[in-house]
Amino acid sequence: MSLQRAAGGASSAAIESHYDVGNDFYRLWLDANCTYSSAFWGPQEESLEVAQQRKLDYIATEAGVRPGQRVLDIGCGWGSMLHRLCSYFHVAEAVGLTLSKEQADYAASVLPVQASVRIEHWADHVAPHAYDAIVSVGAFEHFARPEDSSEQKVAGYRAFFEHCRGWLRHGGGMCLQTIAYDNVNTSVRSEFLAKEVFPESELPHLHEIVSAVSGVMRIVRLRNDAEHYTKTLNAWLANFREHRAQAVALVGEGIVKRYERYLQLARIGFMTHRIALVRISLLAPAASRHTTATRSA
Amino acid sequence: MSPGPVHPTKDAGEIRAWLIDALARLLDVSASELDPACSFFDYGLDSSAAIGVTDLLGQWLGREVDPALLYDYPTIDELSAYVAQDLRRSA
Repeated sequence: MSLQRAAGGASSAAIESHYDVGNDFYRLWLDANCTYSSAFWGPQEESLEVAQQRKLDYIATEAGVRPGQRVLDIGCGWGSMLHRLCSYFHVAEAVGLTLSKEQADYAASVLPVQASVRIEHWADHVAPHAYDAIVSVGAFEHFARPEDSSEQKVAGYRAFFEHCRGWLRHGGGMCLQTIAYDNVNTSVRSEFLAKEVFPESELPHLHEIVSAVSGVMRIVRLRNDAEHYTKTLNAWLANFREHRAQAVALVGEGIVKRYERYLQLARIGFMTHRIALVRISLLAPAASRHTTATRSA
Repeated sequence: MSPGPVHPTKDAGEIRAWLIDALARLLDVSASELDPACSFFDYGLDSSAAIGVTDLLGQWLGREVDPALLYDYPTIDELSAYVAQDLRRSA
């Protein structure tokens, strides 16, 4: 716990309070692979599964993943990316980090031998060998706390990017997907989401991410695909309506109502451009000044 | 300098219709499911979502709308009546 506080961001307990409601509950309304982040939708009508797979492929491709490589997935969730890295990209080794024991247990039970999951904060991770690529989807949202000043947030994010640069080989690639506050003047947080859904977590502003990565890694591409998250939330809400009775039987009416409201408010946030979905592709310097992983805490 | 209002004036009926349409899209429900006399917050909106709604309304009207209005005039009927009156005053 103290290591995590030193590194900033939400504690294990806060992460678990959200993600450990129960895997069966999430399986009712997420896609078959339990991918709990925005999909990447194409121009044609398609299923959530297809759009989620495109997201995994986009992130891995942007990180420059090739067969036989070693890849780190920070915030691996239920392991859908790790699975795709092994089965489709044919990596030699895929290492996933998560703070949620339920997610780790589930991932460990379904993943191929090339993949491993560690219940570990990124600040505690020590890489025995350099990684060729790093992916991180839906974890960065938890790297700052509500009480952090913008300067503290940027410092915490910078420490994260410095660790990533340290884990990567020279010229290694990274792709990050995160929700962020859009470019709005007022940044009133959703008190419901902050208190009831994601305690101890505060979203980044886009400019804070750019500021934190500046001078650490090179930004190759940056997209805001807010409409992709709106569409993903529509799909989740439709699944939720379809399986509502089962969800209530599993976790009770109170939790179901809380999640419905959370998905609804998030959807409004993306539709009104108060929240962005950021996909950012990065490259470590070709001649790194920093070649081995270090611990900050 | 041409005389006349800077922003085209909308009446309460137009604003009411716009709010119903916007809320229906945001909440993903049909317009008929919305009760214009029901509080925005009873539909699950919070302060952050309220700012989203007033931002959209402001973009449509071509002028800023204070998010606090949703607390002072918390229904579609009340808000549309107030905003129409305010537009007339400032025209």
